[in-house]
Amino acid sequence: MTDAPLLTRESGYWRGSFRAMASPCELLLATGDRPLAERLLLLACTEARRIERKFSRYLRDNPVHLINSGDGRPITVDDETANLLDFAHRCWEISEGKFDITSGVLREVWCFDGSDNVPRPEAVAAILPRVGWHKVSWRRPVITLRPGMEIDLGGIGKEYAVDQTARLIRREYSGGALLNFGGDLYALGPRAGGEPWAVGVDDPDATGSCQTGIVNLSRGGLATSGDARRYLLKDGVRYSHILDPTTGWPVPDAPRAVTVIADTCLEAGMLSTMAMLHGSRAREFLEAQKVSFWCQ
Amino acid sequence: MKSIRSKLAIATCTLLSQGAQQAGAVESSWTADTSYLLYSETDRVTVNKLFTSANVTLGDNHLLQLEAVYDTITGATPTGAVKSGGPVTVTTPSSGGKGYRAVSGNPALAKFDDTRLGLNLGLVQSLRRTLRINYGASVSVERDYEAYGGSLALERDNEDRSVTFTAGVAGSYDTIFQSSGGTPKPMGSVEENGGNPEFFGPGKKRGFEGMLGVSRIINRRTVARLNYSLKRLEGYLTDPYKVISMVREGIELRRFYESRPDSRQRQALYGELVHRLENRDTIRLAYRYYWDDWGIFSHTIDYRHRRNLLGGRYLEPRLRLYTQSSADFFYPSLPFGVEPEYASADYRLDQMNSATLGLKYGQPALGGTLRLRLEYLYQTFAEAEYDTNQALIFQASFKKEFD
Repeated sequence: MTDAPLLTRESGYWRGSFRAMASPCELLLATGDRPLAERLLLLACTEARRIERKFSRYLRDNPVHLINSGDGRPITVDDETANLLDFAHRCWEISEGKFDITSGVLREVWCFDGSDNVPRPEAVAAILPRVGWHKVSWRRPVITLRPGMEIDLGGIGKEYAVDQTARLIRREYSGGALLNFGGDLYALGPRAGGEPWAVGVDDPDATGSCQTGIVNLSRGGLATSGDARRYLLKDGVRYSHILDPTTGWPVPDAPRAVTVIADTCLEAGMLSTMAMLHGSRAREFLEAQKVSFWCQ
Repeated sequence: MKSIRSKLAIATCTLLSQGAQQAGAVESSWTADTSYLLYSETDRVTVNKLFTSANVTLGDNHLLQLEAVYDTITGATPTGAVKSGGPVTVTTPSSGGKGYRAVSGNPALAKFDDTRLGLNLGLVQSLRRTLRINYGASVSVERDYEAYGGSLALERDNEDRSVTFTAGVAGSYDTIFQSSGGTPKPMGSVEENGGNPEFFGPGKKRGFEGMLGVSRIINRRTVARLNYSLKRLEGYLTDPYKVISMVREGIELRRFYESRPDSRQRQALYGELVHRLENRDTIRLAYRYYWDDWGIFSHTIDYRHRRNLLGGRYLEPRLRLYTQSSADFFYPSLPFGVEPEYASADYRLDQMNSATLGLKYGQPALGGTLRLRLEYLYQTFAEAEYDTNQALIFQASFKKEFD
C-alpha cells in the first residue's frame, strides 16, 4: 500500500504505476518531461489513496466506517461523502432498485471463490431484512442506517477516483494521458501524434494472458464488470458475483463480462454494472443506451 | 428497454461538478467564518466591520446559522447642501453627542460617527431529501436606526438534484430617527423658528418582499441561476439627516430637510452563469437589472475569474460595472421659488456610474482557509454636489471546520 509509485520510460510516453484500492494502477503520459511526469504520478497516487482511505469499508476512521458503525444513530457526513451518497441514491432510483450500495452484507453468506459453496436459501433470506436502500434515512448531510445494515461504496469508488484524478491532472497538464485504476479507465487525450491509446479487453476465461479485443480510446471513460475471477460453480450452474439486492441471489444468465465506453469512467462503470444486473437482457439494455460496448 | 443514459449523465455531472474537498473533515459538525473589512473613501467615510458566523448541524435534519456583525462608521458624508455656504449657518439638531454634525465651515459635508450591531439567526430544516425550509430572523441596532426582520423560504430540488427552485417571503420593520430621537418635518426649513425647526417622533418603515428563483446544472461545467424579487417599502423612507439647498444665482438662500415618497416598490432580476474552463479555472458572470417606482433603473455586470494555483491556492480578479438613472425627485439644488412635494439632493439618488476592480487570494492555512481581498471603487455622479467618490476595500477572512 505505501510502496512508492514507479515511473518507467516507454516508447513515446511515461508509464507511472502504483497500487491503490487493491488493484494495480497506471498513468500513461504523452510527454517527454520527466519532472512533470513525476509530479503528476505523485498527484494521481495521492488522490487514489486519499479516496481509498476515505471510502474503503475495510478501513477504520473514515466516513463509511462511521456510517456502518452508527448502530441506528444519525451520522452527519462531509460534502464529498454526501455527494457520493446522493449519486448512489440516484443510481438506485435510475436502476429501479437494482443498484444498491447496501447489498454488501450479502457477502456474509456469499463467498465467490470459484468453489461450489452455494449458501442455503434460509441463510440468504435471513440477511435480506438488512438489505435495501429504501430502508435507509438519507437527508443530506445526515444518514441513518438500521442496526446491522452497511453501505459499500466499492461499486462507485474506483470509477469516482479515476474521474477525480483526471480532473486534478487536467488542472496541471494539458497533454494526452490515460488513467487505469484496476481496469477502470479514463483517457484525457490521445498519444503524441494523435494516436489513440490501445486498451486490451480481457478474455474472461483467461484473465491477463489472452485478450479478446483491442479498444482504441482517445477521450472518455471505459469500465468493465464481470465475474472472471469471482464466481461459484455448482451442479453445472455458474453463479455470478452480481447479486440482485431484491432476492439476495445472483442475477441469472448475466454475461461473463461487460465493457462500456462513455463520457466519464463513472458512467461507463454504472452502465456496465447495471447491464450485468439485467442478466439475460444485458445486451438489450446496452443497445438502448446507445453506447459502445462489448458483452461476453 | 428505456434509456437511462441522460439521467445517469446528469447524476454523474452533479457529482463531479461539486468537486472533492481535499481531505474533507469526516464529521464536520460546525463551521466558523470570521472576517475583518475596511472600507475607506478618500476624505469621506471609513467603515470598520467585524463579521463572524457559525453553522452548526443539529441532530437529524437541522442546520443552525448564526451571524454577528459589528461595525463602526466614521468620517464625513455629503448632506445634500451646496458647498458655497451662504447666509445660513446650520448644524443638525444633534447637539453634543454623536450622529451627524456639520463640518465646520462646510455645510455640504457632515461628520458622521456611528456603531452598529447586527445579529442574524437562520435555521435550515430538511423535510425530505429534496425539500428544505429556511427560517430567518434578524435584528440590527445603531444609535439612530433599529431594524427587525424575518424570512421564510422553501427550496425544492428535482429528483436528480440538477434543478433547485426557491420561493421565499420576508418582512422587515425599521425605526429611523436622528440621534436626538426625532425626525424633521419633510420640506421643513432648517432655519425655521430661529434655528429650532419642527420635529416629529421616530419614523417607521415596513418592508414586504417576495422572491422566486431557479438554479440549474446545464452541463458538466456550467451552472445557471435566475432570481426575481419584488420588495415593497412603506412608511418613513426619508433620510432624516439630508437637506437640500434653494439656490439663486449661485447663492444659497434657504435650506430644507429632504422629503421622499412614503412608499417604494423595488424589483430586480438577477442572472448568473458559473462555468468551469478546460484548465479548471472558474468564471462567474452575473447580471442584475433593477427598477423601482422612484424612477431608478440600474444595470450591474459582475465578472470574476478564479485561477486555481497549485496547493489549493487561488487568485480571483474581479471587475464590476454599475450604472443607474436618477430618482424622479432628485435635484442637486432647488431653483428659487420651487418647493416640490418630494425633493432630495442625496447623491445616492443621482444618476451614477461606478466601476470596481479587485483581486482576491485564498490559500489553506492553519487547517482552514485564509482569504484576502483588495478592491478599488470609483463612482461618478451626474449632478450631485460631490461628483466623484473613490474607495478602497480590504477584507481578510478565515474559515475553519470543526468536528
